[in-house]
Amino acid sequence: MPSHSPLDTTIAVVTPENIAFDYQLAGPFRRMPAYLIDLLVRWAAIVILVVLAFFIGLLINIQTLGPFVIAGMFLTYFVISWFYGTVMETFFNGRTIGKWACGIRVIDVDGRPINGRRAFVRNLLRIVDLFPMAAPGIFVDSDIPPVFIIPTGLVGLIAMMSTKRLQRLGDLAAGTMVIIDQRSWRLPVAKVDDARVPALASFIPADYRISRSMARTLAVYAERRHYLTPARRREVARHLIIPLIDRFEFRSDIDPDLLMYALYYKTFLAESSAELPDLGSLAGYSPLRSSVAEVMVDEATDAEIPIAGVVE
Amino acid sequence: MNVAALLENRRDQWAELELFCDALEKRGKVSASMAANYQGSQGIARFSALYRSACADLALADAYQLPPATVTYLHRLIARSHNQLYRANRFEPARWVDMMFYDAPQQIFADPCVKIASIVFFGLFALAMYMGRNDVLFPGFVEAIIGSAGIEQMEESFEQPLSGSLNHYVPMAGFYIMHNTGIGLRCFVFGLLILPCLYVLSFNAIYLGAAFGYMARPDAVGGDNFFHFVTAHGPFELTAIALAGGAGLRLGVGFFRTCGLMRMESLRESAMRAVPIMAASAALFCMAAFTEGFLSPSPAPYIVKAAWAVLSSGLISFYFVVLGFPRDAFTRTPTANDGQPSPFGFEDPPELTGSGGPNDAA
Amino acid sequence: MQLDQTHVKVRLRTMAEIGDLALIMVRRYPAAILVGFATGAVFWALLDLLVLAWIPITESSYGLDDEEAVWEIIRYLAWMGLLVMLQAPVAGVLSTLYLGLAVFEQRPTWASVRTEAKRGFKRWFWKLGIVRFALPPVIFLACRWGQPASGFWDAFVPLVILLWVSLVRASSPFMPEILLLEQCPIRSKSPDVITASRRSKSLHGPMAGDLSGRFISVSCVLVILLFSIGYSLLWARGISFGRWDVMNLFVLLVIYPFSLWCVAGISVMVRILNYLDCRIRLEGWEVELAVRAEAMRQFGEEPLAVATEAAS
Repeated sequence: MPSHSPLDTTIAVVTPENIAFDYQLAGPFRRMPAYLIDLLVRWAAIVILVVLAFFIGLLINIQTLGPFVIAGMFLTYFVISWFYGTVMETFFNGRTIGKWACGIRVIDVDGRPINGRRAFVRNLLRIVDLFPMAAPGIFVDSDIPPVFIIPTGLVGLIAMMSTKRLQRLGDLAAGTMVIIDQRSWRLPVAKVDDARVPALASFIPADYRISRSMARTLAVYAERRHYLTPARRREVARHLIIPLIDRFEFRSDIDPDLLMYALYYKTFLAESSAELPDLGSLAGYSPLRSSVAEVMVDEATDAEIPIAGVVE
Repeated sequence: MNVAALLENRRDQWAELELFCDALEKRGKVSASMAANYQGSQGIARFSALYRSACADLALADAYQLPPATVTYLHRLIARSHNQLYRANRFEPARWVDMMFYDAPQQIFADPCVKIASIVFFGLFALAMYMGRNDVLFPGFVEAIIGSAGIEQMEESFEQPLSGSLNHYVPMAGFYIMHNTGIGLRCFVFGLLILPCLYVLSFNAIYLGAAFGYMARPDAVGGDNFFHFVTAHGPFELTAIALAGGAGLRLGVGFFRTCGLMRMESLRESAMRAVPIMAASAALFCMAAFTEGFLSPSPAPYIVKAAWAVLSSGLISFYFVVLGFPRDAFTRTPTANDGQPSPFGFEDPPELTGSGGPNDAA
Repeated sequence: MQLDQTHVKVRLRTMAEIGDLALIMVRRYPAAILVGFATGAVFWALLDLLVLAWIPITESSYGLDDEEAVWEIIRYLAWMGLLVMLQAPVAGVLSTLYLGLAVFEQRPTWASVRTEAKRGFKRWFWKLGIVRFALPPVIFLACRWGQPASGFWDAFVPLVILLWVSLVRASSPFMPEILLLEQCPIRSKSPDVITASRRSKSLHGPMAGDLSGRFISVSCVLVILLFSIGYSLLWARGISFGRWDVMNLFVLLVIYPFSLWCVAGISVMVRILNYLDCRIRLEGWEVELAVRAEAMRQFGEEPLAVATEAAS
């Protein structure tokens, strides 16, 4: 990772179409709830199957089927506790029930989907990631030998901390990473519903070229301004607008927020060839600083010199 | 063209793509209620066309000066459709057969880690057996390893001649699969940290060896019954433990012996190579468990069990040696020309290690 | 300084993402935790041990197993935990400053961090050290040196302190950032100056409910993390020396405080990221940075700052 790219929890992936796009990585704090849900589901499945098997055995004939039921229970326990994640991730395109609930998904580090072998490795190696196991018994009585049952997960945490894709050891060995699965996300388009904006935009001098960075700034501003209070909008916009008002020779009592918005409108929304918008009641107003004086001069000259067209 | 008009143009297609994603995410396929041209191969073609055009939009986002939020939206949309377009392959049984009967034996035969694990396991096993058998030279060895309580329990359980019924066999087979395969998988997993794997491997070897040695003493109680019990499933089970250890070692060694790859690359590579070994080991564990559940505790005559042991050893040897012998060992015989570059040939470009520049080497 | 070229990507985040980003920051700026926090923490850790270590040391001379010793040990554990919690913000002053600079600069120098810390010393020491109760309990415990445990002084008083501090912290968690990074004065005669308390009101006020919720969830995660780290240290000790007993001077005097301080370090990291997130949500901070950077790009030096300086 080049050291100047800003810190964030995203990773770029290049697709076979040769397009680079960003995935948002899921770190330990997102993955732990998913793991806990999976743990719950796993145990619930085991308990339900065991109870079901018991009842079936009771219904049919405990004498002949009993042993098979017990063997079946052992096998169920074995399969569910070891292969739950592997099977789920392979069949459901990298998701288990917990992952689905938390909106995350496992994929290959290259952005390709996970396959059975990778799922097998990463799910088995979870045992190592949950290391070291804690033994609650040592707090009660130091004489009994420690029974390690509660996972602390520090190995996995340290592994995630030291890899750029937030991978635990199982992920490293399997070559996978966990990403946040994008659900639907509406396309944000800032609409302009204020009639003053196009009016003001029409006064912005045509020789003012909007640079690429300026366009980006304007877009960021327009997208976020709904979340801010009007006072805060003005405060933010002032930094850029006050020198711009000077440059455009506008009156100084113009709302910075409005002018910012007008610039946005001019950059992104207005048709360059469009005619002047219908100004309605706003017709006749001008934000230009000199316009007040000019109108008066015009009237004065009208009276004295009949050729007003020359003045214009 | 301004951005608003552009977005307006492209929006319909993006919305269509989202619709596809919704349907695919919910059911894994396009639902029947959608329009006819979204179904079947037509639908797939349409979906990929939409996906590609969204990709193109993202590629041109900078040139179009799209607002940042739209770019974020595109990133997410493409990520989402990417996950649907490139889906995980379901399990393919044909591949499994291939893995079990082609990959696994080849890998086992060629892998030095399996050899090391086998030597460690069987060596320690034999050593512990000898030490356990010989009470004069190594007094107290078995007691130190198994503990006197353990010995008593062992003797007690083999005091009576073997007898049993189906009621007993079936659950025991299930239990052995769960318990022993669990140990094998654990051994494999701990291989990532190497030392715990070696510990599990040697502990099992010494423990089992000491038990065998103790029972082989002429004065041991229930010694005959013990061997009656263990003979049949011994070959499967012992080999399975050694293989699980070997697979684990392969995993851990990959991290340290990189063979010119980047460390993580090498770890990944060796993990993928270890999977067939582990699968073979798990299969052996299951076969051992069935033998242990059904044949071993049965009162069948010793000769049957011994025959099964010989047969299973033969099968394992066939699997390892005949299936595992390198396929290209016969086809390619070295000739005198080898190693001498032809004057008309061209030099191979030096192979690049890893994918990146100098940063990756650090 | 390019204001919009921050070294931590400034965008809206969920709570889980903030936790993950904190881990990434630990990796990118290990110095902030290892050097910055350790420098601050060592002083306070030694101070704590000075006033508390006598409890386990005296008890161990009688044996740590009897009934009475258990109560004394619980007293020690409770006070130690409380003290570390109280002192975490003031111990994290250097790392807070470092991380605050790191948002804008690639590698802040420790010299600049030190001068910053010295410049505002009176301010932060008064507010964080005295008013927020980092130092007073230490003095109080020093006065109670060698006295047996009492229900009032060792159960009621710490509980009250804990409740009070939790309330204060949950309602205004970002006081250290306000004092250190925004450099608001504590009091001022002029009503126009934004003092720390005014700033705190405007920053915390609109998000009070949200902040308390976050405080609780972060506290829960930190407690789990504390157990995880403590267990792992015990486990490492058990594996390497074969000793599993918990009631032991080494565990009480070294492992327990060490894991407490580790968690305190992470809490500082999480708090500063939460602070950034809060400012983004509430004040559109990323918009302000973009707008100011654009103004600097178009008009040279930040025009507004120049204008206000000229006016004053």
